[in-house]
Amino acid sequence: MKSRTLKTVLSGVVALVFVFGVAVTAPAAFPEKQINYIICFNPGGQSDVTARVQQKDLAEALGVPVVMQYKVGAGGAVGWTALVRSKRDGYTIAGNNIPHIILQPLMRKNPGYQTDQLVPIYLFETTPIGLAVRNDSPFMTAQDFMDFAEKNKGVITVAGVGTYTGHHITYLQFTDLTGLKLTYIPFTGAAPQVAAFIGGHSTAIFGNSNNLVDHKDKIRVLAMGTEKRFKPFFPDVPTFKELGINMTAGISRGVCAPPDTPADRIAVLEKAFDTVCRGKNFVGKMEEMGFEVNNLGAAEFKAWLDGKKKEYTELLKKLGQIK
Amino acid sequence: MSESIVLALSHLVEIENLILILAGVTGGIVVGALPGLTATMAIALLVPFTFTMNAVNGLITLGAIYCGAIYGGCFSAILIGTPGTPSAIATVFDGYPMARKGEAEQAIVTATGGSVVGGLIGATMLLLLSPLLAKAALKFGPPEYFWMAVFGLTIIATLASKSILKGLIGGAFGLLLSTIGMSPIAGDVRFSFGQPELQGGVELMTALIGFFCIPEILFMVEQRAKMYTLITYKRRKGITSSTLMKVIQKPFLLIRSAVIGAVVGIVPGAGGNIAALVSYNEAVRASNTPDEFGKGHMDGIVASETANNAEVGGSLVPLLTLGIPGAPPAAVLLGALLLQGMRPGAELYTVHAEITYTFLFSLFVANIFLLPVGIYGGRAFSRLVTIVPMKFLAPTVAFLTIIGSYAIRNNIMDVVIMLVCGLFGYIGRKLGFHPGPIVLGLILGKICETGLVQSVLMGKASGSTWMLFFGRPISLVLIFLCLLSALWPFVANALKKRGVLNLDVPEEEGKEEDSELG
Amino acid sequence: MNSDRLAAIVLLVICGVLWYEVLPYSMLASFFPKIVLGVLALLSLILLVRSSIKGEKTWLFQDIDKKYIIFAVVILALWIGMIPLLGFLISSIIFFTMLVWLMGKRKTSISSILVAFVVVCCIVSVFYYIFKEVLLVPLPGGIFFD
Repeated sequence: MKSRTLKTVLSGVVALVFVFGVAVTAPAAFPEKQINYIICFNPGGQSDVTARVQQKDLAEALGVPVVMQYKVGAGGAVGWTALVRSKRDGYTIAGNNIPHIILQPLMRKNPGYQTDQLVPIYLFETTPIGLAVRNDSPFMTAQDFMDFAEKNKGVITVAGVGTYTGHHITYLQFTDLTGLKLTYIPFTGAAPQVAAFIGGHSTAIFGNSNNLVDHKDKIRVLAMGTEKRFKPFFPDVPTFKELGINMTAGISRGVCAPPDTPADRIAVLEKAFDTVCRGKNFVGKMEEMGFEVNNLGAAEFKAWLDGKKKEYTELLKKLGQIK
Repeated sequence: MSESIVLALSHLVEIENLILILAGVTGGIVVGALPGLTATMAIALLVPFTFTMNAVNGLITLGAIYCGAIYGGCFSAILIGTPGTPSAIATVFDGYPMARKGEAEQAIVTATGGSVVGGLIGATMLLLLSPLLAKAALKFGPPEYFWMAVFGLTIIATLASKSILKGLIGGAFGLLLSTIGMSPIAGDVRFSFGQPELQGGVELMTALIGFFCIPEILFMVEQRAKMYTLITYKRRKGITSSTLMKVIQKPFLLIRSAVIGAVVGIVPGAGGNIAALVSYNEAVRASNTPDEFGKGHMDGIVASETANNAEVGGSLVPLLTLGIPGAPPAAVLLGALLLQGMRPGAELYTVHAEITYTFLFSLFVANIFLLPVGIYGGRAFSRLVTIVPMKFLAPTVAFLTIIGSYAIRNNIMDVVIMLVCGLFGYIGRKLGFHPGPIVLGLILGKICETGLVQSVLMGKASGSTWMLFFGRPISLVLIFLCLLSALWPFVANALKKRGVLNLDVPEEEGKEEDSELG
Repeated sequence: MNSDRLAAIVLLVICGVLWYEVLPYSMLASFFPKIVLGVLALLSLILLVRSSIKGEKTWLFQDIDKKYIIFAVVILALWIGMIPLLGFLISSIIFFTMLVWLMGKRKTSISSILVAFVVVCCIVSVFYYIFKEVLLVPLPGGIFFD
């Protein structure tokens, strides 16, 4: 009798230990605590606004709070450097901007990060860049513009934001493909750029689509950097490709994670972003503001990124900017 | 449209909104008062809370926070000699000496009075003159920004009246500091000495805390055996009302400072940092007793605080009409507007008229609320600083500097930079270099450089760089102001020696400001 | 050697070092710094000349106890340096208390240090809580907590 009780008790204890052990060591479901979403640009700017549109839905999709952290500076480099150094547990992600994350490591000596270190999770929007002049400008079409530029080398000033940024690379590609000579005037941000252009201090602008939409009654858009015509805002404006200039121009935004983040966690984040960025709230708000929504998952994002990196590296080598 | 106005006014007297404005003002003041936390940060941190509110509630809360935060900077400026926000830099010059003289409460009441008046005038200009002013603001191009920066640099002549040479050296040093990090024009990273963290450059607030706060802390360490508390305070009845009366009796000063503040705010990229300094400069020049500035002269506080609160209204002018923010906090408000689905421009005044007008009117209420909150809160706060022994005050301030400089960009490097700036500031002070010109150089560096380089590029394209710099109407006015400001100390001395003191100088300056807008 | 002359020499050395640093930068990036460095060098030269004529012969730290200032700076540096390691909370509590002790009078009793310690813990914790939970500014946790 005693040995039977002992056996029962022993097996009960073993069972208990087993169950308890499994419960304690079983992988916890991700995510369990808040996600830190690093924004590498100033609050109120495009990167901030596009992330905030996602914030609430994202928190719902993941079941945990999503908190924005600003790490601003050096055109985003400070934030991406911080991301690369943060923990690879999937709880810290950052918004990333193309072409910035490609061009900065190419052109700077100590950027603090390399393009490939930012693991792509999802690409959710593109802000197409368009060429525009004011309503009082003598250029009625892109052809007028280009004819004038042909005859007057370097006279036309075009406003852009920064150097080796989306606008600048657009300018470099445009002048390379058309052979025209313009003068690029860099500004410190979209706000001063647009202000200077509207105020008459530059002849033309390579501007973000949302800025062009905001001021569309004061300006004339000559060409857009999209694949197809930019509807519904500028259905009558030709694309660069239609004009025989084989390029697209835009600033794209996505999210990325530190290097060596576990792939299963990235998959969870990817799925959440996909749900959010196909949702009515996100798509509606973004289109209203003049942005173009993209839905590229992690693998497609990486492929696209590699393609762009090749494109820009070749262009910059051709222009002699890098060896 | 008039029915929108009536509706807006009716919204304003709803209890819910009044409470939100009060809460926003108080919260803003607290954040503004802590060195390291700026108005921009305050608004950015609280934007998420406004998502759950409707457009009216959210916007008036953010507006109230903005007003409160800009005002709140005066508290630490006066009580511990560090500006709580960059817009309060000039308040330190006379506010802190007043507190050291035992007149802390007068200083705070003066600052409050000035802020309220400035804020109301700024809000009025916003309400009535927006479209006109916005058009004028756009006329500022790269050459104008350059000359504006140069004009700002001439303020050094006023700030460093004891040794202009050392002031200029300080200013040049500040300009150099501003070049650290990514070049705004060329994209190159400068002076990072291989450290990727330095790509972001020296953040203004970090340097401010370092240059103003650390020396004060070390000063308290120096005095540890001799002084028990940092400032003393003698309670007297009727201080508040008598000080307020004195403030109201300076209409020229108030109006001039407010106009300067609003105008500087309207120009995108200038912001409250410069508004207060320019106003301070003008106050010194217009005064019959310029030597008293820097030693605890009421006018200095009025000039600074009136201008920086007027700047709030000014910065919203290009924001609401064109979607171009006039100052960093306004940029965050832009984001908030966009997220509520409101696009800046004519749309705001027609489709969303009710919300917009409620917001505009709420600014008046917010500024009025500054009075009770500031006076009672300020009184309590200053009592606190007078009671706490330096033994605890100095380390607490040190703690605030560390937490504050970290909070700016969540970057420990900033705290290191802050300490380094602090040591430079401390040694500099001992050697006779006032921190004001250094900080001025830091603020103006980027504006000066981008203006200069962009203008040179534009000049090359148009074929005539000379005409670009010297041929534009607004530039010419600014150049004239530069010369006036730079040569003023010498001119004033000469005039004094001849017994001639210009009593109608304020009038003349008012005209100069107007012609800028014409 | 008066303080002005020292300042001028240090400034000139800084100008030299930075000029060397600026040389490889692109045209656009080096334009402005070169101008500023030139102006600074010129002004420092004027200061140097002036210091020989009528220099301010103040010695930097005449009537104050240098020891305490150096201690304070060291404590601050350690405080900041230890944050990545020990985390904000622990670092602050330790070095805040040390500063209070430094500021105190000659003979500080153990009990007053303990009182200070408790007060410090309260202040630091309150601020830590407000920043972390209310304002959502994440403060470093150090190697133990992150």
